[in-house]
Amino acid sequence: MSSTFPFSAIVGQTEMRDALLLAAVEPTLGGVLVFGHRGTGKTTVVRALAGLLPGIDVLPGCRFNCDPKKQEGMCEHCQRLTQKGGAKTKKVPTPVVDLPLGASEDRVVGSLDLEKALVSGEKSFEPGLLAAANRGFLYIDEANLLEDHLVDLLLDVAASGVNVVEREGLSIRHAARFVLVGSGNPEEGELRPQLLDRFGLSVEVSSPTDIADRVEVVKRRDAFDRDPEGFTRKYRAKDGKVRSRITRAREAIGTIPVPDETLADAATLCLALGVDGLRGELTLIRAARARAALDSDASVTRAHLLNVAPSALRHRLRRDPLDEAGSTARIERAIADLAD
Amino acid sequence: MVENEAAWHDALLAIRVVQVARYRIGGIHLRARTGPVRDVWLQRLRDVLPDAPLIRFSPGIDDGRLLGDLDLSRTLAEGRPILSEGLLTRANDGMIILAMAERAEPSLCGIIAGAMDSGTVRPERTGQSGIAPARFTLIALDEGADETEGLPLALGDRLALRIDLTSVSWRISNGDCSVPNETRIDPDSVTISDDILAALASASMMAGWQSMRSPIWLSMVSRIVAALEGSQQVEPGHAAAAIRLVFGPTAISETVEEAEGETMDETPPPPPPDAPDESDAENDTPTDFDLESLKDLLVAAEAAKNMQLPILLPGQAAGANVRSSGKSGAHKNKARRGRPTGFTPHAPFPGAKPNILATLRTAAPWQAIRQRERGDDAAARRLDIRKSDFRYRRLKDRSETTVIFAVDASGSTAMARLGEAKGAVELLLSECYIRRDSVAVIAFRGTEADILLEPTRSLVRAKRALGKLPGGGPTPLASAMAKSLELSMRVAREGQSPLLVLMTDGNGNIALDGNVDRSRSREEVAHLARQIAIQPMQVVMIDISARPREMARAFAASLHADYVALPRADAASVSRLVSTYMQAV
Repeated sequence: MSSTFPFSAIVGQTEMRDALLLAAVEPTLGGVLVFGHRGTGKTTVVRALAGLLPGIDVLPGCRFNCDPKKQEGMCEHCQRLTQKGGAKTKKVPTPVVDLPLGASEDRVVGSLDLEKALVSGEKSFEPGLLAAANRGFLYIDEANLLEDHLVDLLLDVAASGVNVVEREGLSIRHAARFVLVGSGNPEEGELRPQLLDRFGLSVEVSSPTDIADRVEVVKRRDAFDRDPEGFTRKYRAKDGKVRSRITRAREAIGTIPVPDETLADAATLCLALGVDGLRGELTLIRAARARAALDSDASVTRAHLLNVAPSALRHRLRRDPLDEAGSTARIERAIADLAD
Repeated sequence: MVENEAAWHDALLAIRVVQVARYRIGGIHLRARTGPVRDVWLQRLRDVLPDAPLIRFSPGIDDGRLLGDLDLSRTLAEGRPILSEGLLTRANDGMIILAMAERAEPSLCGIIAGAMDSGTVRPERTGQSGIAPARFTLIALDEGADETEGLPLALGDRLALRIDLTSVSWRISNGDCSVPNETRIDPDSVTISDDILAALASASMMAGWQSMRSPIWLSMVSRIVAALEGSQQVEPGHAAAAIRLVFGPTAISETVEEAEGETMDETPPPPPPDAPDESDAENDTPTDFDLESLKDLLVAAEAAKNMQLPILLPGQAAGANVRSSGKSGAHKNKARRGRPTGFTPHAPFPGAKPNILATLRTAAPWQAIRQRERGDDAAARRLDIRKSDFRYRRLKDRSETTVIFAVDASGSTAMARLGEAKGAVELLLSECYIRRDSVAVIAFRGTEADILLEPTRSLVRAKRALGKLPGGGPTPLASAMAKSLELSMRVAREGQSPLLVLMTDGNGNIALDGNVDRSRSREEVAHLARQIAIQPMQVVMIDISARPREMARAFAASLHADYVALPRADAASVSRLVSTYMQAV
């Protein structure tokens, strides 16, 4: 499809939309995990968000989506162009890269271009999906069915922002900063807890069960299919508002203070829920700050914290085979306790 | 039979819908075996779109061929990179026929689904700029043998139409099957009322197809059917036809039978599914459908949710019958990971990369010969590598284990056993996601055995399935063994190693046909035991009777099974025992 479905035209799915917005504002959150059935609009939401983001500047011919403003970590091609000077940057849409399930590690990290090597004896690096996703989104459908070692690798790169390839006589280092979005159906297999913990936020989505909502989805999709341009035009103003909210929030996030009492709240909440490690607490605070930035608030309050707590902590609770209640219910209980 | 003819008419109607909508409805899920009926149908489909490109391939295809890749042999021959056009791009504006779609691997489904979602493909090796259009209608030929084999969800969900030709006879398909050529049809101008839209939206939900794609398909197909009949707005009859086409004839016809049984008292029986005969509706035959009858169809759709039978319907709520991927026939000797075991001249899996050292080693001895053959002194120092030289590393994977518990839930064993078995399954599953193994549970009591839990790794699903396990009644041991055998063979076919754990006292009293017949039951058990014994799988029998007897030991011996008496079987010890066996498998 030439145009993507407008972000603001999506019916429902508030939690998922919020989580993705938070990740777009604060890329260090470490990815979003979306659990839900097929056809609940996971892909549509991710693509819609990418279509709405301000887009990125790149130098022509760059295969790694390098940031022209950052000298550090630039690929050779861009360094040459920058030194020569006068190269015009061009604006390209924020990349959204799909990671196919069967993708080999070579395809993901990039590898020696074997054919080229055999034909002309040239040792050249063929960038993989991580390079393509730099400064954008990497979307994995059915992350729970992906090979463990690949998930591991992706989370490593997502956390460090650098992809290092050392193999077959190649030594390459390139920037790979992206928001990792994984989706999956928990009934088809589960992720190891160690991997779960490394995703920043997790949300559960389901298709709307309200008939009116379902009818609205069909109507909007229908209108979009008939006349994509006209439909997109109708939502352009709303999408623009979301875009400027993100831009503003990105600028403001560095200056928003987190008061001590909010830090204490975060610690209390994590302790009450028995969340292991500091990662949960850290993500909780970062997400709360992103929330405050999105809401244009001057400081991070308890309300922000509680708003993001379910997404930030849901997947970090220790599984208790005897507790039938879901993780969400446990978090809600803890939140209610905190309020008392 | 009328049923058959209705199915055939629907199949022809599906062709007309595709002709109008093309790639906008994704495609058709066609369930049929190879044969003249399917050939006739495909020919009709071809007839209405004679100029559109038609690409046919089966799931074994290379990713590179799908997306476009470096043409290795031509590149080597000419010494410069030559790109081949991918099949998905060549199918642009046309159709793709995916044969044996039930065997499509997740990676293949991912590629096709991605192209269907975006309408474009990005070839693997031409850099970032090479985006090519790829809008096509996918015809997925599903030759699945039974409900355990089916179209992978990733594809099924993206195809609007489902048709089933398995019940259509050659005589019917050979009869009237001309498909009128629609040229001036504009479904976009057809309006659909909110009432019908709401009915369709709830129909998709009641049928248990959670995905939001289903109501979208329903609304689109209704409008097309209406347009085909020359109507300017969607009537309930059109919507009913759309429900039939989108949910599949199997789903609805079974549904209707079911609904007739269940809703006799409250609602009048729904009309037969072939009531509105769209396929010969040229003369605008007034449909005798009203909104009331459509509601009956909805009741039927709701009944479908409870019976889990409609095998064509993707995304059943529980996901019990629909697997995430068609792994049928996947053998582990073509592993993508694991430990290396030598080299092979054939790519072990699509997209495998040749091993440089081994390739060079193979090519080396030929250099002098090839140079002479070329008779070209100028290129004497160039290394001459041909396609036949390529060597790939073959990998052998430790295949995953599926533990099949067959649990005696009859009155002859204490109710407590069930609890222990459940506990053991949950304990095992909590370890399983580390080892990527799965667990299945068969419970037997009353007249026959039931597969309570399909092989799964999911603790969530196991809990739900085991929560409703009842106990008591006679012991259909023969049925349990038959089901275990069936399941273990299926598991093996999917490339996993089955481990069968029988928890029983080896004392059956119900024959396979469900009658109380101790002697026949004994005969059948002995027969099945021989069959299980010759299977290449590990069997463990856990004797759970309070006083272990010699008979149980003999039963285990006839199965070639290891015999373990655990009169006080508790979850932890069963789990420990099975774990040791799993390590050994």
